[in-house]
Amino acid sequence: MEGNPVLKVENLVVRFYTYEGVVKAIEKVSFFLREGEVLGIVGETGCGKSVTALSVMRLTPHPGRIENGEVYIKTDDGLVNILEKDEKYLEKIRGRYISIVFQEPGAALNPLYKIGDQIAEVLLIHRRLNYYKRALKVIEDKIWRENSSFKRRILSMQRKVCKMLIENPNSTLASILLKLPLISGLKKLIEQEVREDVIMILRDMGLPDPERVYNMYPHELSGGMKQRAVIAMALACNPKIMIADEPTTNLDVTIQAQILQLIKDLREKLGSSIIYITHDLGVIAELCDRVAVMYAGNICEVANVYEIFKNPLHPYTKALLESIPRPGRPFKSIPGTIPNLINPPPGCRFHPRCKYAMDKCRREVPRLIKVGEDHYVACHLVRG
Amino acid sequence: MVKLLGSVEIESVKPLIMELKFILKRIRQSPLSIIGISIIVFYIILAILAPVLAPPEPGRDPYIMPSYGISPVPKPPSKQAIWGTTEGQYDIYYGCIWGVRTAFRTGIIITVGSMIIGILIGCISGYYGGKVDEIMMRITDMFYAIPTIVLAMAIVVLLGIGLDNVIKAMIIVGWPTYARLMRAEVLRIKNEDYIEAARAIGCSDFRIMVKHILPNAIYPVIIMASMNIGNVVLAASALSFLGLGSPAGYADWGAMIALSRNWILGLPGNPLAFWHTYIIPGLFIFTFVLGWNLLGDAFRDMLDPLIRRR
Repeated sequence: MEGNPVLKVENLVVRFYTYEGVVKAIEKVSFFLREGEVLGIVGETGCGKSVTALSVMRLTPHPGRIENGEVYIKTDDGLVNILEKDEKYLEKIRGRYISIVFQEPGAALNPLYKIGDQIAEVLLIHRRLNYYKRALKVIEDKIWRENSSFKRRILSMQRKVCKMLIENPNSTLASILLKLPLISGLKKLIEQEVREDVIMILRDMGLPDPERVYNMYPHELSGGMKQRAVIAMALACNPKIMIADEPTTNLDVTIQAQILQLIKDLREKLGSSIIYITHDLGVIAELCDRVAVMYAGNICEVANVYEIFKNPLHPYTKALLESIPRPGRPFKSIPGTIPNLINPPPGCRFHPRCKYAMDKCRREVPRLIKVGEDHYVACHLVRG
Repeated sequence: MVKLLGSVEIESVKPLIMELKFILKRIRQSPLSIIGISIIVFYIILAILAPVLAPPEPGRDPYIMPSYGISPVPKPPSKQAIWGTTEGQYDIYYGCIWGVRTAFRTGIIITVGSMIIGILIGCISGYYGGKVDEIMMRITDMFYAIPTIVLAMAIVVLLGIGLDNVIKAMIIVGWPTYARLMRAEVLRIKNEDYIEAARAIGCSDFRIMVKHILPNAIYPVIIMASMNIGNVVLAASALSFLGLGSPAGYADWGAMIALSRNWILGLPGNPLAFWHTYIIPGLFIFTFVLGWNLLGDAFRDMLDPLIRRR
């Protein structure tokens, strides 16, 4: 039923320990992501969309703690439960197998570094070995063609250091040697190799004149260009999974359309799976294959995108769809506000705002049940 | 060169040169910065030219002032000692010139030393937070609770009298200011999205601290340090004056004023009889500290992005 998942989250529980009390931000959330699909996560502000996304990468913000659950990510060693792994392992996973694009593109770039260097950092963290090997090849090529014996000696010194780096990328001696004159040519060579790749990535992102953009600082770019750069950073290592946390919310509509098109194209080109977090149902309809609707830290409905719009079953999904503004109709909103998650309502968390609430809803937490092909609902009204 | 929009060359503006031009313009606009910079440049030249201006006797430690006799009574300016001699017949001119080097050495070593310790502790404390932060910050509070000079004196007495120990003591009492400033900056920057983004691409804690937080947090600390060098020299001179620093005869302004302690009141009926023994080294200390303080302001005007563009 799950096809070939690249990401599987099971019974994820996240709580925030604040001064006012324990915020039960995520309660037993389970979902999966198939290879090559786009999963949309929708919901109101504060329903735990972003916390889910960050927790999947184990980047839960400070007072928050992952209390329970399993998060499996597909790596080269198969599915790995990252909640059992240590920080060192996570550093290898992040950026390589799973990456994230944040909402505010300006804030996600370090103002002190050039755009290109920030993207190069990702490549250097995860693919260092690759670049050392490429540099070695270039040097060996040069040695063959070099006539002057002095230069050849320098090159063979560089080759030695390069081999040292390939054997042990973290070698302190080699990193000191790299800073010495004559040998530092090797460093430039490695940087040149990385630079070529970065420029290629920037070109893939549809940035005009990538050689120039490489040397620009974040403040010199427009919002849309910054977001393209951030996506470039996220996709630099071709991760299997990309999480996009409302990447277009702060952009104007035309740029938003361009970025959406870019994400669509990249998905086809690279075959990455994408989790797209938004509160904009229009974007969901445009981009996603499947949708998960979240409310107050629970997933209340998961279905493919046609089912959600044609045949919504959960009262919250229905209400959400009805509150899309349409011309010629009065605004409709969902009465009440999102509950305080320190003391969430017992039973179904939506029942205080639900038109159809029954006695059972106040007592029992509904489980996610299968109602159709690829369609799951957590509501007492619906029977499987 | 990239050509866009017909033939307008976009890349012809070099940001680095523009920046330098802006800084120079900024400096020219403020006379106090010019004074500060010229004082410090003057002192740097003095320090470099010390062996030419006041040639030491070959084979002797150049930092020991030459002595022209054994009489304790200071002598007024003469041909041999153009600014006179102080107690023990030490040459004031020679002492003042070589004292510039001592002042630079103490000032810079103390400031850089305490800055490094402060940055390290502030960075770790601010980045990791929680218990680490609590422990480190309570320790800095302990250092803050005791008056600086008193604590420095106590440490010098513990380590033994001497200029090197004064430097060590001043570093030990100096770092908490930097640690607090650094911690505050780190706390602000670690919540920026680009730090989260750096973590999301797989940067280790160490890399985030060194490559992403430090360069963004360090400017206020550098400005603070440049404003502090003067005060540090003043405090070190005070310790020397109290007899905790360099030994008698060492070319150190504080120690020279200490030598003139008995002669400040002058002779009966002539209170200014020995003015040269304390006024001249005093003027050196005064202008040196003034120069650094003005330079610190100039640095702030140049580097602080909030102030500079106004």
